[in-house]
Amino acid sequence: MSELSLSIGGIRILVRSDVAAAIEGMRERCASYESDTGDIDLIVRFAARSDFEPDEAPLRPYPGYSCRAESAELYRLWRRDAEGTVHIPTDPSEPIVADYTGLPTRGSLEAGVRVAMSLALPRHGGLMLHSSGVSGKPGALLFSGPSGAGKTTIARLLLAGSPVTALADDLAVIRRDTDGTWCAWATPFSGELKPARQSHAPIVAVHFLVQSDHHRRKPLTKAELVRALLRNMLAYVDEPQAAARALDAVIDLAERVDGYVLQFAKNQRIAQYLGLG
Amino acid sequence: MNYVSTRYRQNPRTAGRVIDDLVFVVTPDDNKLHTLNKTSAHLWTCLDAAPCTVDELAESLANRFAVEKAQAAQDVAEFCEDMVARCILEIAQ
Repeated sequence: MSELSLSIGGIRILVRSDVAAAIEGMRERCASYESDTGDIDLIVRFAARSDFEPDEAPLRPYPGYSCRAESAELYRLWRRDAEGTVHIPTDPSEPIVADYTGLPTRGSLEAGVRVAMSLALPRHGGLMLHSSGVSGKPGALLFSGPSGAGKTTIARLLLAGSPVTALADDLAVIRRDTDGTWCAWATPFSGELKPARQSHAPIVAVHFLVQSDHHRRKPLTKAELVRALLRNMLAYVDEPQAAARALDAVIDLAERVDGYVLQFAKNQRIAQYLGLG
Repeated sequence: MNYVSTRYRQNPRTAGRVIDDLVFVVTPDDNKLHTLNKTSAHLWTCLDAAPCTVDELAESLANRFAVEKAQAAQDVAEFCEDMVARCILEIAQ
């Protein structure tokens, strides 16, 4: 049995599999997130089955996991090449345990970790947001939206045109500190950008992107920000307690950070427009 | 539907929160987010305390928004029917 010990978004994760190659592939991708300090919050176990076929057809486009809450403590997940369960103990001191079985690809293992994290985060005062992000002098700026909105594009423009570092490419972990400050954390779940190792920064603003031929930023009301955040978070809310936790987290976040609709043109003047250049 | 005696309550399987005079309700069974406007939010909040009849809700609405009770009753009846269809409210047994 091979294993990998990580810390992502401040969540300690132990990944175990009987497929050494899958673990090594993930170790290579998550090299700067290895850590063996602190109690384990999440255990992800993956058992290979070469003859795997899912019991049910996935409800979501591949590579997403379909998810069903069997109860407040047990979730069932499945996709084309793997299926599993996530058990969330009622005792918060016990780690969450995700057990998967399926084809032993790096993609199925990493996706399993990502989904298990999205279920574990609310317990730790956090959530995952479909967003890119950069970190600069004022703090973290997040750029959210569906696929094709321009999350990676705007991050690239800002990295090229201002003294900021990459925090996220497609998925950001956001968590509330004990003092109430919401921070955005780098994750290894990135596409083209390579966020700095284990970095995090207090969130200054969340922008919801609209591609345009000019730059314009319009503030959102608290209610509009709540709605936009709920639409762009990675969360399974098909169970009342999970839905309530997600709502509470988003409402608290909306109370503490600014939200905007950001129209942006594909040029580096966006850095100056946002006060970063 | 006998509106006189029927009592409505919040569906216990939903999660709802008030923000800026609006109510956001998640209905987990279909994974949908519903946004209730100021008037609907008032009615939803009334139902937070205990199940209510249309008449009781209409009385509260009429007092809160200074409208005729008869009109309020009609609006409330439509509201309750719509909310039950969306699984935000249910008929209390």
